[in-house]
Amino acid sequence: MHMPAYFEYGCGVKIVAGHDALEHIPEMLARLGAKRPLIVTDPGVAGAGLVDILTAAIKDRITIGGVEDGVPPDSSIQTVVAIAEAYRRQTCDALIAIGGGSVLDTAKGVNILVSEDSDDLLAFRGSGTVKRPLRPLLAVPTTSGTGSETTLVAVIKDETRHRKMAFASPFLIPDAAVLDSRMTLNLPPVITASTAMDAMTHAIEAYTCLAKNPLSDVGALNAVKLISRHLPQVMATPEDAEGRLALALAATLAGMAFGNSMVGMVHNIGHALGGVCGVPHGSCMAMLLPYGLEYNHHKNGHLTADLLVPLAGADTYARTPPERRADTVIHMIRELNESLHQACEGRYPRFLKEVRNAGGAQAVPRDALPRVVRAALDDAAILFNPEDLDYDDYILVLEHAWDGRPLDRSLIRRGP
Amino acid sequence: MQLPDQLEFSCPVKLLYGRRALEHLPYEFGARNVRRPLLLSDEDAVRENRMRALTDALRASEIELGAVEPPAQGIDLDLVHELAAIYRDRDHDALLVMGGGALMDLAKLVNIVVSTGQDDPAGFGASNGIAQRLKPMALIAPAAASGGEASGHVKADRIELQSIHLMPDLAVIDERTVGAPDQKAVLNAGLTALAFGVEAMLGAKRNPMVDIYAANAVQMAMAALQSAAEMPVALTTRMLTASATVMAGCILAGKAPGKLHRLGTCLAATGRLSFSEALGVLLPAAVTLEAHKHGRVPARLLSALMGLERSSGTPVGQRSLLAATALMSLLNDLYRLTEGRLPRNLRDAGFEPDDLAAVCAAFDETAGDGDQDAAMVMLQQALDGKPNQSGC
Repeated sequence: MHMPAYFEYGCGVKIVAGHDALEHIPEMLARLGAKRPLIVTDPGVAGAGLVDILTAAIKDRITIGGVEDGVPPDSSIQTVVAIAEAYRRQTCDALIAIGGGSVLDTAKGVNILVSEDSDDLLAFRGSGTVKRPLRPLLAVPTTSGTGSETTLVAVIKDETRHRKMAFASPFLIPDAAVLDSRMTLNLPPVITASTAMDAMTHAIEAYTCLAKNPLSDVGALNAVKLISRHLPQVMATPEDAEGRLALALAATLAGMAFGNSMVGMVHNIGHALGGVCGVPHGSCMAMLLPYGLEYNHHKNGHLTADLLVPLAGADTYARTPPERRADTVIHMIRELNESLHQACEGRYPRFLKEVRNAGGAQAVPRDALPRVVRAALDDAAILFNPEDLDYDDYILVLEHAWDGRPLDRSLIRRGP
Repeated sequence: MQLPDQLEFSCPVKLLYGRRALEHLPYEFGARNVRRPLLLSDEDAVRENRMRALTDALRASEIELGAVEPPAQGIDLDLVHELAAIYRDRDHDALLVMGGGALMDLAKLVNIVVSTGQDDPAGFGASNGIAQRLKPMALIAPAAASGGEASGHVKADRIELQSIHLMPDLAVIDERTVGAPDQKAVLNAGLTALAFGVEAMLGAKRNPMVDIYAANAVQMAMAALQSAAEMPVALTTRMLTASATVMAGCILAGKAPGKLHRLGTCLAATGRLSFSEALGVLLPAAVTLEAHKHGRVPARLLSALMGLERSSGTPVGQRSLLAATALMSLLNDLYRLTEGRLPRNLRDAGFEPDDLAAVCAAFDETAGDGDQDAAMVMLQQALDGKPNQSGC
């Protein structure tokens, strides 16, 4: 057990999970004193029929004030203000956010405005500016990856200044995260695989990077175990509701872990790769995860070795010589990526050179790597990575990840 | 881990652990719009002048601290009302508790009164009758804790309440305020936390969220108990004990106590041993029984008890025996350490076979089907403290 000199751990969101968790929403809202929720979602979620599933589950017992289904992929202040107006116009008293990170961030922003009776969202930017409980907010995730249903942060774009603004407060944490297997049952294979590997990366970086703590450690290990056990089953049998629910729980566990322990270079490079080349976040995580573990091996190989227990079981851990455990973990993650690539008939990329954009062109040309590095050098997620990276180190990692070669560890410059 | 079909989990407690943890309170209070907390402290905190560290930590902030040292007497409603009046008259906006056990129960009752305006907390019923959020409350956790401080439970003056809203918003574990209790207090706190953790990891309601707190309660308590021989009790041990008891409270949360907890209460009611000691002597039997019922002991529990390296090669079929043996070995060590004052089994506490039926009869009448039989099996095994692989 690793006890840091100082750490914090908390996750105030109530977790309600099950195959009919949605049916509990009216009772949860009643306990929170709400009777007329506004549903906030995006066109993709609405088009997939998920809002219909939710409304069918609750409409007999509660009046739905309205459905706002126009949240864009990057939430904006303009969107937040418009939905807050709809909330007031329809005399709603609670919010149900159905979707991923952007939808939830939008709902958090709306909640600030309607609870504080304001139209000026920017007045509440930064940390700790929201100082009292807001209206009831329930989060219903529709992918098993981001874990944003557990966080106290919202990131919303200020379109006039072309900047993303962060809002952080304990009062932004949703009152509950409702995890229902029906919400992810029809996710396409590539999204299922990449979002699950996003959650896997949250858990593994939380466990192996510098800000780890004993509570997030247990959540992270449980998340890795659930994903490694259930992801292959769900890929083989997409209608496996038990497996879908397990992946949803794993994503929430991983969100709780990294929300308290931060992440490392995989997220750092992934943020840059997403920003520069538009590669989906989950794909970035999956492709880069083995490289992050290889690069940090000389600093945290003993922690990577521990992951063999949730990945392969205690018996395999005991049978594997200690000096080979970390390498076995890295090999297993590469094997998992390979099997997901096969299961998705090649649409799940293993290496950067395999990523295609919507038009079918290569999304990460090799000559884009220097721009990715420059963006990574400006990203704060690197702060808790065990080993430092400078420009050349990033290039080393990215070139290997582009080709799909295991990292040549003899080339890594070892810091103190 | 077999996932339940339905899962509900909530833990509103934010833990601040470690060096200069108190210095983070102004930020946490500020984020909750707290300006004027009322500090309730127990006589140990006053005697050891633990408030000094707190006032130092708050000095540069805008927090205006009011303080009361409630009399060290049983909790009654008059005292609750008296403190609630102080809270209101001095315009306080949060409660800050430096101490454990009855003081935290008192603070929870005061919070009900000042938050709801209801003078009689018993009016909320025993279970989950409190529907609203209460005023912010922070616990500065001591090493000498009962294990219930961070929970949503209150038991005082014929009032028994359970609600998630009774849990503190913050639990602070700081080197300067864990206190310097004697060895016995540390052992009691450690055994309680260990039992809460083990029971949560064995039970049918186990889930991966509760596991976070349960595995840590077990690991921290084991580490603390195994190092409690050092005198005076080392700071690291006291920090671990305080943490383990906060974990225990988070496990219990606002839920009904489990079988081990309830049977421990019945044993303690005989007056022959404390609640913590009762939990301790029941633990090996509880592991054996639950393993028999559910077919296996989780690998995570064995790892928390013995460490990953020692536990990982154990075949599934041998885990329960190994876990029970590890717990018995711990009890034997503590028996020797305390020169027989901490019982290893019920005989050490003066029980004879004929005494068990009365304890079993006193076992919670609301126990589910089969629980009373299970209680007798546990008591019989705990009498001599011998592990029984068959479980019955």
